[in-house]
Amino acid sequence: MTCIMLALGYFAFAASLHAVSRRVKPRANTVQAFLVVGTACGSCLLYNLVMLPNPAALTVTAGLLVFAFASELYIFAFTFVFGSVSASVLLAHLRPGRRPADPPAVGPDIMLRRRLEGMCASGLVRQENGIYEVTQVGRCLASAGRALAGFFRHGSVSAGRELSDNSAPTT
Amino acid sequence: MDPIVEMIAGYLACHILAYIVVFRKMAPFRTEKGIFSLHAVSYLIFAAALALMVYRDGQRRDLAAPYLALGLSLHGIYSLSFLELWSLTQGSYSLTILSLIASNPGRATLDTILPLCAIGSEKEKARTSILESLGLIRPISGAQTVLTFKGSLCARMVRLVYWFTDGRSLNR
Repeated sequence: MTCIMLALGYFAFAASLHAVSRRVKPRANTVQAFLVVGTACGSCLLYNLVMLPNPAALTVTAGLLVFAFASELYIFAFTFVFGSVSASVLLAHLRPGRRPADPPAVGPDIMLRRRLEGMCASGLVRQENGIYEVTQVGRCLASAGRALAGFFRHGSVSAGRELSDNSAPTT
Repeated sequence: MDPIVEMIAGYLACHILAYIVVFRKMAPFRTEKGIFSLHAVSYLIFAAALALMVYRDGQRRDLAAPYLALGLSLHGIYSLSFLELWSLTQGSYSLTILSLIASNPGRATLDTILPLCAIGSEKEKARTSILESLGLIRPISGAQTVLTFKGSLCARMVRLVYWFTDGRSLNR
């Protein structure tokens, strides 16, 4: 039981450190910031688990896995909140002074521009003189996405292709 | 190897194998609800079986908590990673944008990409109706909606996650 309590305690500490790091260094990448504090806290947890009296491989592994699962849930939660349309619809309803008849605060073109900005900042896409190009990393991600979509039998990521097929060619 | 650890590894291997061979070919398991149920039901059955196995084994009863933590965390990591990849490749806006830019090398401008806004609006409409069917929001008249009690709790949880990351998006 001690290993579980320790893992949860270290996770709570990592999440708090992450909240502090976002305020101290707001320009840092959110996921990378958590990976840094998470790795540091995970290492301290490992040291603490090994230093327990009569440490067994089972308790050390169980403690580390509980910490890893909680961290993955946390990363999933904030990446979901930032990218999810459902989360933004729910949040929009909480805005003070919002009346039910108000239009959405963020227009669809603003959503798209923000997504593009984010992709440029992540190095998936680069923009030069108004022309967007997929970087090598972006190309790998797109091919991995297509391969996985095939594996899951989603059909294919076809919307983009359909749109590009319908758009007039520019020379 | 420890027989309980073997059982945990074997169960997870069988689960992914069953998905590859049987479930992914069945239409109900290609929907969000279906794929989520496949993992949620498996998690519950696995938790019950593991608890039973550990408590029935007199020698390992003292180690029940670490065994359960190990098994449930492993299944949790596996299911969460699977579901994230599944939903990311199902209708990801970013992947659609990447695909569009990649298929227009050297000529993808904002004007080429902006038609994808229609997907964003469609997505918002579809998500609003899903939130309604989940009982998180309810219509009051026409297209106007308000949060239900359950929806208000969910929205507050979303706001808490926002607070932890200082409300800034991922890469800023």
